[in-house]
Amino acid sequence: MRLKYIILLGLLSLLSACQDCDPQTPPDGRVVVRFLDPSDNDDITIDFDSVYGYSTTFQGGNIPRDNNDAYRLPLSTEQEQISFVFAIQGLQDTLHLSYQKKVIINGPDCGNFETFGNLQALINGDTDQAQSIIKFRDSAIFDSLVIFDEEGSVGPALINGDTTTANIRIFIANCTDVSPNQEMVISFFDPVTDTPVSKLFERVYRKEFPNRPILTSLAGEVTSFIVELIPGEESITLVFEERAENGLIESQQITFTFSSNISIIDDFEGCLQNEALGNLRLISEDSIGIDSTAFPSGILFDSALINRSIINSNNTIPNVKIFTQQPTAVDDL
Amino acid sequence: MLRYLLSNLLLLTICSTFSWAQQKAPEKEQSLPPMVTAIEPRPFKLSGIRLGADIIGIGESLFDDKVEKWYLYGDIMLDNALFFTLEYGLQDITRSGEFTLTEDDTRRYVYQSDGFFWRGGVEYNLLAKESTYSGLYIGAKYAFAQFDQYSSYLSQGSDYWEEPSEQQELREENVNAHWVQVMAGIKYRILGNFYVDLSTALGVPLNFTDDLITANDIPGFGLNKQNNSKMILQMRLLYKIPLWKTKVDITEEQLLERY
Repeated sequence: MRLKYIILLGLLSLLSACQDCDPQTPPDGRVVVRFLDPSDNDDITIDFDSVYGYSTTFQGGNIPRDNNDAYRLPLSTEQEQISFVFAIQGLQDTLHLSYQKKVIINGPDCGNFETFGNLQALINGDTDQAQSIIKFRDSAIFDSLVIFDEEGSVGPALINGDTTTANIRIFIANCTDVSPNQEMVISFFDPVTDTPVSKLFERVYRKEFPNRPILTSLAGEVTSFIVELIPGEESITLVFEERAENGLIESQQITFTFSSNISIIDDFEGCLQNEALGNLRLISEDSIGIDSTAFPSGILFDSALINRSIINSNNTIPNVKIFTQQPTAVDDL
Repeated sequence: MLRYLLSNLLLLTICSTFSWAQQKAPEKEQSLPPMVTAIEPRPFKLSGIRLGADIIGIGESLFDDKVEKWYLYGDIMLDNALFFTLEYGLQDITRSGEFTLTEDDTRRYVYQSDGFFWRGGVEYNLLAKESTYSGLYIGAKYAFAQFDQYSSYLSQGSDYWEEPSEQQELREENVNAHWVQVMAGIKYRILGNFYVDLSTALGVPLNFTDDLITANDIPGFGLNKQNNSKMILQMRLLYKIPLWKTKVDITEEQLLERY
């Protein structure tokens, strides 16, 4: 019996002398951010118009979405509090992050490398305590945020070499009970001053429905009006008719294209709509889809531009700005 | 290298201990005079205090100028059966050098750990009835270490934030480590009141509070690999302060009366 004890002790002692290390790949210092629908926790794909980071001393350039539908936000190696702005369709939210630089000692023979730990978020910048769960109150886009540690539990994150698993999950509420808006807002502007101008139209109608005008002279002078788009259609041509001083009707038509079933952030409802209308574009006189165009042969209008390409329930922002023709000066006649 | 040398030394000592253990029984039979020497059956009584130091640590401190390990040990003996132990150690270790991260990425690094530990617990001698002095024991202990850490490392910088890749330093103070260990070992009287104490322990981390730098070399625990349990080898030289006698002399008649 005693012999067994001694042999066991000897074996354990030999084990004690073994030391090794497992080489690890240093992380690239980027936080993986994914966006989810809070109703089902499914990933959602959002193409922000711009995402950029800033600190007290520096503002960085745009950060594109990666191939895995995530945004990988680079951390500063010199500062431990930085912020990132996410902007889309005129809306923006700011994500404030705090973290600590950390050195992973990888054993006697495998050296060390730098990473970042204790990653947490701040709601309103550096005046707030860092947290792993945030419910946004006055945000334009974000609904809530959760940070996960390296074991997948809620808590301060350690940035490791995993480039796909989210360190931060941001939830954006889905407008499941809100019907997508279909109202395209068209407004008229002075081409020189870029200020709204009033126009009196005899009629405005869809080209294929001349007997069902959208707007008539009975409405009086307008600075803007709304056109109801039909989901599933891809284009609409509007005919504008105006009565000239000589009593004749002058007309000009403008064609727009748009897409159905796109994802937008509705700035009035503050949530994500997956079946909205958007990608609004103008068709130029030479039949090219563009964001702004001049009308060289236009009688009523000088030019037009797409001011907002999504059809949103907030109709105070025009989708299309149409610039009227400058009145012809008497001297030019 | 030193570790392997010590491991071999340990094996040699184990072999000699084995020989000692095998020869112990006949020794008793040969030395039975009319006036017998026997261990008196009684509850555990205070029978000695031993003080000592870790030989491995002293060896490393002497032969490696980047290592300072001074571990002190003391125990209170209840007969030769139960030992209440307390250890205190100071440790200052610096490691530096180059390492290859990838084929074309060789980096320099420095790591330093400087602090102390306390470790206390109880050991029980499985051979208490067979030996007056030596023993094969098992034990359980709790340990606490506090230390400062420093590391020099290559910061990767950030292209986005226009920060260069450069050598940087990080320091973390008052890192705490708590662990428990179960152990087995041999305390072998080699000469007079001198003992060699060989043990191996399974250290089980309870809480390592490193925030900035991985607690990689913990005083009393040794190299820490991802906060996993690990084996801890100890080899000490102990001196028993000769204050108590552990034997009583009784006559054969007295012995017969008792049994």
